[in-house]
Amino acid sequence: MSFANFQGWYRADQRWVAHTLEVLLTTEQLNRQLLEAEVNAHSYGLTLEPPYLEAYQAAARDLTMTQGRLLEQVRDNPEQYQRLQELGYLLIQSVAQLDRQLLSLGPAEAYEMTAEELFVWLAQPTELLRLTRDRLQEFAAFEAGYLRERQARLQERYRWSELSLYLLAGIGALAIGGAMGLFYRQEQELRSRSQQLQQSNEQLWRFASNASHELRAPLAALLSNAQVSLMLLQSPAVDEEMAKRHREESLTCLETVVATAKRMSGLVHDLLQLARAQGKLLNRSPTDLIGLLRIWQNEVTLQLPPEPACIQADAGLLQQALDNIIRNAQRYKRSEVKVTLTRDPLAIEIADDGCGIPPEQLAYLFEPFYRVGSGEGFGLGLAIAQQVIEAHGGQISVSSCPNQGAVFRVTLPHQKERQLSAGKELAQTGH
Amino acid sequence: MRLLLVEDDPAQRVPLQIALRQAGHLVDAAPDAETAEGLWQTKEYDLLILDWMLPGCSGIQLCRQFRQSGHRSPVLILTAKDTTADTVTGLDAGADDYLVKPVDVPELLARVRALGRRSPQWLGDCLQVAGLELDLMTLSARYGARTVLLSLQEFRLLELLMRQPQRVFSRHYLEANLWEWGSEPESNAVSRLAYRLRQRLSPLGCSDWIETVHGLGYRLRAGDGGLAG
Repeated sequence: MSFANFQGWYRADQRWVAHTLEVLLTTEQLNRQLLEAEVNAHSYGLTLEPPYLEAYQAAARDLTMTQGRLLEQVRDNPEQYQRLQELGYLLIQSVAQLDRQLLSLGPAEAYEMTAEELFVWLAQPTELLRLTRDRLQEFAAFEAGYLRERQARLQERYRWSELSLYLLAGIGALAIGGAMGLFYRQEQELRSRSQQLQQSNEQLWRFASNASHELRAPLAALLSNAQVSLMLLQSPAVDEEMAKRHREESLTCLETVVATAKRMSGLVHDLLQLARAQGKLLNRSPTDLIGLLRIWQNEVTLQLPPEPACIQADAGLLQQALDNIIRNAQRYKRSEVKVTLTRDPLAIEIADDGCGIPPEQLAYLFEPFYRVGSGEGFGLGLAIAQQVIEAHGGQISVSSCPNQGAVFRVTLPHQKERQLSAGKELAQTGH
Repeated sequence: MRLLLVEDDPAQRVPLQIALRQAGHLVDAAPDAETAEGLWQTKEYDLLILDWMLPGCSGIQLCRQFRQSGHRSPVLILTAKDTTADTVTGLDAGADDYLVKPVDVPELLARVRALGRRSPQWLGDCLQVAGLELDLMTLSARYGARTVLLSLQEFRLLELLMRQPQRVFSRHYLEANLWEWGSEPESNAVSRLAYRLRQRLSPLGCSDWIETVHGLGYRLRAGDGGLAG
């Protein structure tokens, strides 16, 4: 908007300058006409030739008109207007004087003047004319002054506009640079966010795909056993022995159906646990780790510190995670499983003395559905353990040497006393 | 037919074996690849049924090894994988057919029958020698207007004899080919089986068609002068 205003002022100034130039031109015209009148009058006086008289009269007429026009032009400037009015008065007097001068010459035919008389005649109105001319010059000078003023102002305005344009350009460039920088940063963030999403989508897809494959095997067992059982009961038996055998086989198949269905139910339960841990849906409450481990005291060798080790944790999930690791160790032990809890750093070590884990399997140990050999569980126990522990902000690692068993190490983050007591207060004030 | 079934999950292996046996086949069931390889090196099979997911060696690899050792019997692959890429891999490895788990048992039996027709031994769903008809679907024997139902073992023995009516089958051969791997026949099991088969065929009047060739074995000999004895 200021720019629009500015443009308005600029144009106004330009108009002023043009106007002032016009005034100057008209003033110059007035001056010329005055001079013309004077010269022609004197020429006539000298030569008595009619063209000079006519020229003088024309000039006198024009003078009046020009003065009138000039008056209109400077109407907006009261000082100049006044000056011009005074000047007009002088001009009228000058012309009147010239007229009288000419009149005093008498009729053309009876003209007789000596050089002396002519000299005197010529010198008569000089004072007035000179005064008039001086005033006119003064007037022109003032006008020129105005012109210079306005031109200077125009220049200033112009310089101002240049400066502000540069300023605007500078700000504009900065703004664009800033905007581009912001855009770039946002795009980076978006890209990394979408990469993360894509990764977790792929993870989800892989998990769903693996889970459904894992469920297919028990489903196949259910279907085959049920169908075969039907087939056996429906097929005609040649003799009693065959019929008896059919019945027995059919019973075995149905028992397998039941066992497989229970096993599938266990698999679904484990899958849900894994999903809970991955989705980080935890119900935290103050949990003493010693309590979680003491359950195993009849089956493993426990080494526990005397003071309690409490953290904010989902007791159910954490218990399951620890149970999975300990059960895994028990499966491979030779003679004993040793469980050690240390308070600082807060860590649990589960060591077995079995045949150890080959290094090529160590990398896959915590993958869902990874199994060593078939038929032993679903391969989800350690995967669940890892998810649960990581959801609590902890870490799990395994190390193993051939024939020296394996050691699983679980570290959990320390929690400040204030957090713990705050947690306890929350628990006490009830939910 | 003699079938080799390779499946590591007993909950799936047992019912499939029972179903195939019920359909009249002789089924050797192996739980892993090594056992299977050992078996096919010593015995002839009419059809292989392989699970894709086996411990140690994949079913696909096993199929390739089977083909590489020169066997041309058809191979059926059972698997939980169902994408077209997997199908192509399976068929390119030398398999003849591909079934996705969970398998429908009647469908499996139908496909086994279909693949059996490709076997060089196939002689149709119904064996016929000089008026004696053996129906492979219903495990029954028919002569004239009368039909009798046979037990699995009796059916297998008669089928074997009828497929090659000129041939004398030794006791040893019958023991190897009429009992499944893992079950040991007793010393006189063959003769007892032959006796039972004769008993079974007596209503048809064909019991003397089972001829004992002393010192050598057994042979099918059609009555009514159908075949030169």
